[in-house]
Amino acid sequence: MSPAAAAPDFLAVVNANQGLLHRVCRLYCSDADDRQDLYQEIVLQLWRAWPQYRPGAAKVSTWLYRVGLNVAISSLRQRTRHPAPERLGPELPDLAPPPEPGPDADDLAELQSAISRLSDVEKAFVLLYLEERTYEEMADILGITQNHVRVKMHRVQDKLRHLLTQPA
Amino acid sequence: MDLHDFRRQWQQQPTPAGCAADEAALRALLTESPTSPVTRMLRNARHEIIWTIITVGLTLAGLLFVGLPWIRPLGVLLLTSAVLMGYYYYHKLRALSRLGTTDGPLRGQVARQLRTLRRLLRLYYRLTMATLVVMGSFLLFSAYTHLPHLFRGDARTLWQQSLWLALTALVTGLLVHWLTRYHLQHQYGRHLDRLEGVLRELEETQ
Repeated sequence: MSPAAAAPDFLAVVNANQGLLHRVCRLYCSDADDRQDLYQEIVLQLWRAWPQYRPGAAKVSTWLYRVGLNVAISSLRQRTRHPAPERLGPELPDLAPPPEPGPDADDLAELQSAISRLSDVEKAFVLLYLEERTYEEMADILGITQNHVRVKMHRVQDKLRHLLTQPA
Repeated sequence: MDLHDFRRQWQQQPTPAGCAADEAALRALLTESPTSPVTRMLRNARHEIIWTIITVGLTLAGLLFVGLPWIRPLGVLLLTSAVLMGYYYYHKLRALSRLGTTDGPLRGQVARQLRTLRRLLRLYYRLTMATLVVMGSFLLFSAYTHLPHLFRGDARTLWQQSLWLALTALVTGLLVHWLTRYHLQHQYGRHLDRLEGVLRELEETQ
């Protein structure tokens, strides 16, 4: 199939799943410019991988998460354009729209701060959990066994609970 | 608040406005200057291969059509270096093209990237050292043919000269070894460490 002929189908998939791709970028980049760069790089890699994509072989979401996470975690790219000042600790990423001020907002800010302090791999588990992926799909995306996913997921949740009790 | 409570809020995040892609945006994305270092390295490797081919062509033309006596040894040196560099750029291009495949599971992708990058860096290091040997041999050969009086004398002088040569070769070799290692560590060290960390984390079971 020629690139011009493939473009409409590809664009339909990307446009239908923009939210998913943006959420991957939000989790891995705190800076708006970096997020934009990452989004473009993911779309570029999706386009390159599109000719090999077989709808019967994997769910489209699995394919999108694979490419998104591979680019975000393993690609050789500039990590940050504007590194956060170290003294202030990890920059709070804009993970979700801020709720109304109140106890919930404080809890949410603490949770977001805790997530931002996780490693790239741990963030991948958090992402897939938040996206309500099954253990089977998580295993398929990450390339590990379901049992391993279950164990890792528990550990990540424990770590998050621990981080929530520690000041940033 | 725990992760479970955060799910609904996470999934309901608004998508940034004006992000819908169309064919024009896709075309622009494919043609604009690449932001990813891998894409940039791929483009550079292609340019380097083109330059190497041009160098080989010009050198061959020089060897065939220019009758100056010093052209032949210099041409042979240039050709040897160009062949070594071309071999490296070819492998670099192949390795980088493989790195571009990103639709497999994360663990396999990271493992493949680590393997490919390590192989590429090993090749770069070996070819750099090989180029040094070629250059050294060429300089020695040129000195021997063009300045033969330097290599004549009694046994003691020859022994001293050999010692100096060996020392110079050793120091140069160590310097190039150190600089190459430093350059590779500076360019890829952090990325490799990070990938190793990711792989370790994905594989740890205890």
